[in-house]
This record gives sequence, C-alpha cells and structure tokens, in this order.
Amino acid sequence: MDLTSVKAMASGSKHSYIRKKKFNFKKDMIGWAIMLPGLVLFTFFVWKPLLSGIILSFFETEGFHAGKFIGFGNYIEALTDMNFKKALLNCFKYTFWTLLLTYLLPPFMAIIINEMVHFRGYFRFSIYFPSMVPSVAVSILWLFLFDPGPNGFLNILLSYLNIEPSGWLQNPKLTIPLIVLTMAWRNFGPTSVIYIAALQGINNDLYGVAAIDGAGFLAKIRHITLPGIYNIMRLFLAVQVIVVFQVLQEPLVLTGGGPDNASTSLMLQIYHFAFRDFQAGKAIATSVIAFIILMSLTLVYFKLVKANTDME
Amino acid sequence: MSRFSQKTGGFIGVMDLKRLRVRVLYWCMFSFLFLVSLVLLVPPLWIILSSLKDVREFYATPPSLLPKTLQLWKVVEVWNKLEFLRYYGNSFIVVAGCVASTIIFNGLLAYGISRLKPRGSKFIFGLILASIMLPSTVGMVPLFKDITNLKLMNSFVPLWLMSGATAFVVMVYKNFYDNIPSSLFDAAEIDGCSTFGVFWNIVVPLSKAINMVIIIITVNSSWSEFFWSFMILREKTLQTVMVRIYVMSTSFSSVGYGIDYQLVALTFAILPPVIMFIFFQKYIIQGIALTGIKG
Repeated sequence: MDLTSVKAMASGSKHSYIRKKKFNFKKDMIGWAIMLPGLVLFTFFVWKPLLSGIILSFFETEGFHAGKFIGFGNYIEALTDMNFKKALLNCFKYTFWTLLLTYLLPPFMAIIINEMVHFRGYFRFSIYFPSMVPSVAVSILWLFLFDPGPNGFLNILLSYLNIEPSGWLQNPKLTIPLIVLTMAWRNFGPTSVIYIAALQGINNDLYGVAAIDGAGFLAKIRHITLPGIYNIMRLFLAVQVIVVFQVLQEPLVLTGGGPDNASTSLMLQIYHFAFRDFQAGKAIATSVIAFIILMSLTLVYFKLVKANTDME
Repeated sequence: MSRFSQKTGGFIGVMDLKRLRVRVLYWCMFSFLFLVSLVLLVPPLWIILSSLKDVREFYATPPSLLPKTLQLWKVVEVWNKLEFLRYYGNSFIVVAGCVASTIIFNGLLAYGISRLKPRGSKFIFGLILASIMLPSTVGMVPLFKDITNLKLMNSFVPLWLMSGATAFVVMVYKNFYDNIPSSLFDAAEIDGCSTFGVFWNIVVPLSKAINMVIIIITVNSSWSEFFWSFMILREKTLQTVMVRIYVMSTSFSSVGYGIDYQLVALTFAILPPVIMFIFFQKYIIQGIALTGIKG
C-alpha cells in the first residue's frame, strides 16, 4: 500500500466522520439533555464521593477534613490495625457460611419445589415471604428469637427438648453462622424463584427420553437438571461472595460487631473507623483495600471459570 | 391421588410415581419442604402474636410459647403513645419521593443510553456498571460530608435523589428498552414524530409493566432502607419506621418501653410490605424472575 492511498483513506474516513458528526449533533444534544438529570445525580451520589474518597485516603484527616498529604500512611495504619485483621478474617468466615447456607440451599430447594404437585403456590409463597420483611426488621426479629434468656423463643423450644438454654449470638463461635443464617432466611426466596424459573425452562421431553434410556433419578439430576441451572449457579457464586463481603447492616443491628469483635465485618469496621473513631482516612483506605481484595477474587474466579469452560 | 397424573417436568416422571418407593420419596420431600416453610413463616407470626400478650407473660416461668392472653387494645395504645402515625407518614413521604425519582431519573438515563446513544454514552454506561463493583463505603464519608455541607441533614431530599442514581434500575430499564423492536421507532420517525413524541407516545405506554415491577421493588426497598435514613434523619420527628424500630431496640431499657411495645412496633414495620406482597404476589415473583435480582 503506498502513501497516497493511505492518505486518501485517512481523509476519506475523516470526511465521513465529520459528516456523521454534523448529522448527529442535534440528536446528540437531545440525548445528553435527557440523560442530564440522571447524570447529575450519579455524579453527586456515586462518582464524586468515590473519587474524593480515593483522594482523601492519601491525606491525613481530622474529622472529615483533609490535612496534609501522607501517601500510603492511612493504608499502612489500616493494614497494621489488629481490628482490621480480625475483620478481614471474619469476612472469610462470613463467606464460608454464606457458601454453605445461602448459596447451596436455594438450588436444592428449587429442585424439590419443582417436583411438587401439591401446595406449589403455598411453597412459593412461604419461600418468598421472608424477603418482604424489611432487613432491619428481620435482624430485630431474630434478635428476639435469639434472646439468650430462658424466655427467648428458641430457648423455649430447647427447653421442651430438655436442652440447656444457649447464648446464641453471645457465643463467639456461633455468632457469624447465626448472622448468616438470618441473612439466608431472608434472601433465599428471590434466589430460589430465579432457579425455579430456570428449571421450568428445561425441555421436559429430555426427562422422558432419559427415562426411556433407563436413567435413574440421580442420573437425570446430574445430566439434565443441573446443567439447566449451571449458568445461574456460576453467576450467583460471584454475586453472593461480593454481597456478603460487604455485609454491614446485619452485624450492626444484631451484635454491633460483638462479642469482642467476633462478628465485625470489614464494612462494619469501616463504619466504626469513620463514625465512631472519626478516622475518615483510615476508613476509606480500608474500603479501598476491601475493594482490591474483592476485585482480585472476582477476577481470579472468572478466569478460573473461563479456563474451565475452554477445556470442555 | 389424581393430581400425580397432572405432573409435567422434573426428574420424577408420571410413570415413576406409580411405584411405592417413589411415592415415599415424594412425600419425604414434601414433608421436608413443609418443615422449611414453617421455619420461614412462623418467626414473623410468632412475633406478631407475642406482641399482643400481657407483658408479665414474657417473664413468666414456665415460659409460654403461644400467648395465653391477647390484648388487642395494645395495638391502638402503642400506635398512639409512640406516635406511629408520624413515622408512618415520614416513611410514606420517603417512599413516594423515592419511587418518583427512581422511575424518572433512572428511566430517562437508561433511555438515553439505550436508544438515543449520544456519543460518549457507552462510556457512561461503563461507569455505571463499574460503580456497582466498588463498595459504597469508599464514598460513604465524602458523601456524608457533602450532604452536611449542603445543609441537607434532617431532610428527605437526599434520600429521594439518592434513589435517582440506582445503577441496577438503569440496567433493568436499558435492557427493557434494548428489546423494544426498532421498527416501532422507525415508523414513528417516518411519521414525523419528535424525540420527545416518540418517548411519550411509544415508550411510556409500552413501559407500564416494567414500571409496575420497578415501583413494587422500589416501594419495598425504600420502605426498608435503613443506613442513609439513619445517618441523615437525626431529628426524632423526621425518622422513618425503620430508624425508629432500630433506635427503640438499642435504647428501650433506658427509655422504659416494655418488650411488648417493641414487638408491636416491629409488627407495624413488617405489615405494610407483607400486605403489599399478598396483593401483588404475582407481579413481584414475575418481576424477580424477569429482572433476575433480589429485592
């Protein structure tokens, strides 16, 4: 290709670009005008706070005001903080229990509900019902049920079984699994509904054909049912880890992070740094660290999933 | 057992169900589900029932699982004494404003990104998607500072406008607008319809169902919203129901409300969304399956 033809191509494309621009200018303006109110709100409530947060994390803070530039000072302070280490460890505990309770239960329940011919409407109602209860109300509700006194609901139930009353949330070993349990209780309805919708999308003839071929129940579940919900399961794995890593309100209301920081999540620790200790810089530095951890986990996960599907 | 013959789909076929062992398995699964459904339904019901029992019964030995006394007058008493009319009023104002702001601002933004596509709008959509990944705590402190500086503390305005910037709603709307056949738009343009005319005469009527889904989701989420209401509405007379029950639960012993009062208040917080669910169950469940999200 010689120089002139390249030049001609370049000028040609430039020419058409200008024409397109002229043609679209009015349309562009209208488009931006329609989007403007939304953009202003996104800027004020989402983007600007994120940006100034990241900037603020490199400054010494007094109250919520920026002092002098200290580079990674806040980050070092956060990383060496005992409470941070504890909260990070707790977040992995939260994630573990979420995978066990919140993640695996819904597909299991959806598969069973999909088999039912009796009471289908009732089951769908009951499974969805808790998610309509506001999450603060859910936490307070469970606070009453987990009342460690002999008159708490669950301790009354235990007393019928002649078991000593339990401390429930006061017990540092139980507190995280119980908090996750209350979250699972509230959240698994919508997730199950999505799984049920996916299950109903499976071609029913497949089951018939498999039966003729002599496939048992387990074989049918393995080769027809599970592949039908595999994609959703893969997506929810990432979504639920991202969500539980950011848990704040539940430990705040249920335990305030106690007993002795046993249930403090990263976000709750950040809230404490910011609004209890008034160390804004440290709080934001911790959020950024949390974000980096979350981001790398998600990236590694999707890489692994991709490698896996490529192999198949 | 004629119902079995209507069964379609699932790994248990109609023929399988004629075998005794499969029937036993089926009823085992049924009982398991039934147990789970009790775990899901009983706790709120127990709270609602217990709130009506005599306060002395809470501390009785042996403790009672089901209330022996029902004091219905307590509902009225708590409603009046704790001034719940005011908190309901506050919550309704918040919900109404949030619904309007969610639909108008996110809907228009998504329409621009999906249909008008001015240059640079792809980048904007990328920014919106990216902001879902960042934990909101990064911006928590600066946003709180901005709200204080603009003297918006103890005001509903930031709560309303905040829901006008919900990335997830933008995504749902964009997805919906993307799937409207472009022939409709072309036809309107040929007929000389302006951009606003197209929006008003074609998009708005088509969006009724999706708006309904978004309204229900927003009513539920803004009724339940706690964190920012708690941070912004510091004045007691402006608090929403959620903030109120949280404040009560952290301070009830010092203020002197009995446990029964707290449970009645909790019932007040639970009832509106539950009633809404009973009326709109179909819409809500469809909406969840449609949008593929959690409420």
